[in-house]
Amino acid sequence: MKKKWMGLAAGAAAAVVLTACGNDGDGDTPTYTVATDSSYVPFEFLNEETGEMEGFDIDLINEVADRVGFEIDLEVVEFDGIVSGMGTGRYDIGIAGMTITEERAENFEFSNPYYSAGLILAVRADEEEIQSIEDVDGRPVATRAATTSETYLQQNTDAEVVTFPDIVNAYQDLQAGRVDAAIYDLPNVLYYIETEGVGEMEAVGDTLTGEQYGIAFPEDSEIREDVNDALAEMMEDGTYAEIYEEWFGNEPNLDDLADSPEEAMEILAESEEEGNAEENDGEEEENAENNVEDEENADNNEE
Amino acid sequence: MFDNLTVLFSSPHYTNALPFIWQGMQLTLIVTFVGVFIGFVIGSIFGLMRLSKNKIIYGIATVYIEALRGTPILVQALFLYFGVSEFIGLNFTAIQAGILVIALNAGAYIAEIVRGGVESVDKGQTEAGRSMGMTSTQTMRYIVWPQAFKRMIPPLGNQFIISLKDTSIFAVISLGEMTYLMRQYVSTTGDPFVPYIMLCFGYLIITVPSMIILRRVERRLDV
Repeated sequence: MKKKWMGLAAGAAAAVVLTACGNDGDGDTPTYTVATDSSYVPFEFLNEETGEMEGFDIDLINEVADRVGFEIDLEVVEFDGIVSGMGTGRYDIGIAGMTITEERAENFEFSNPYYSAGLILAVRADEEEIQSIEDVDGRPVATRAATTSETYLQQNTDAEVVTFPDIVNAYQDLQAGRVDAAIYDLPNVLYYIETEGVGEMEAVGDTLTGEQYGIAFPEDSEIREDVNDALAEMMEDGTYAEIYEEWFGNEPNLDDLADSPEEAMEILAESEEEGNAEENDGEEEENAENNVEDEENADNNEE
Repeated sequence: MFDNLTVLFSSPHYTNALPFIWQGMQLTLIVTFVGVFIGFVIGSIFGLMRLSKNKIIYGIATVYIEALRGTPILVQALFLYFGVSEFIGLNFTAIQAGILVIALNAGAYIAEIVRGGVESVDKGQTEAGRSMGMTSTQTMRYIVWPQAFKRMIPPLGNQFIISLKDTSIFAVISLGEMTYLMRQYVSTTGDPFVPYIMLCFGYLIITVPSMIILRRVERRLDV
């Protein structure tokens, strides 16, 4: 009796091994671990009904995977975990609305830019004092840990920086009145205001910095070039525009995108200087002093 | 590998991150001390309630203790800071929420410590007190409680150390304690190794002496 069972078990095991081989042998497609953010609407977020992650980034990387020919093993990680995990080579690919920056490029590599964004300040609808980034000094401002927003606040303002692992918590803190402003990437801020913050929150001031998102790869990744080719192809044949329209409701302006990660970093660095200058021009004389200060700040940042 | 080792001795983070450790440690200690102190008051009340023969009083204490011991402190912090504050419109600051969570959480564990301590005092002590004409409150106050409290000291010390380490999760509610500040530091420098070693030592500097003192006290009390 016992032997019979063992025979059955062995048979079952063999069947499993065979089918596993079968799948593998089919198209000889490798599987890559793709890290994505836990919640960053509308780029990636959990659809409560299906229990699946969806969003612009998810559609984009699926299309890229189809074209390059690999399977995706999606890992949902908090943003600061993706940033450090890319540096140590824990993930093969990272797609998380991640801005291409020089600091990050020191530890890992980026694809060509696939989205052009910027930072925007949000305040409560009844806020009277804070109307631009100039007004946040000394006030508590919330954002998400390990993001370009956090760096921006620390380098360009004297605000009291309050960080959360999850950006939604920063918005909730603003609504609850514990902080006076929140700052984050424009599309996310607007999406949140439209969905959860109608009448309670509003975006103020100019778009700060010219941020371009890139797909992250560990150093010496073998698929980075293939992914770049696939992205270029998708932008050419309109697939990119289709996905873009589905999530943002308007057509993408491909001219906004830099041609390479290096160019994206330059645009970011330039915009940090320009952005400050522009704001001051708009407000005329009284800010002449600030202008000088801002230029000094910009110089400091470059160092 | 060995290149990395030299970092251990010459890292700039030792001087750069030290102010953050120091600043964070103060808040960590404040939240822990105040939280555990309030927790002791809560725990004493609920611990004694749990000894009550009145079913309602016993029931209330049991629900509180099991609800708090049966849920993660991370969830309690999120619930109180984001959930409750939205629901009743009472906006705790991060420090208030942190202290409250430690107090409620430690309170539940301390209630069990109190109950165990009181129960461990021999029944004969109560009987002796009562037969001398003391009321049951007097018996508890002057005879049972002093003996029970002595036995509670070691587990209370342990609870203090556990609560101290529990404060590290308050980064999720932006409480600027040691772990929060070091995470912030790491996210700006992008270099996690030495700063996190320093963070470990930040906790050990408090916990190891606490454990040593605790052991001394235990020996002296002979419990």
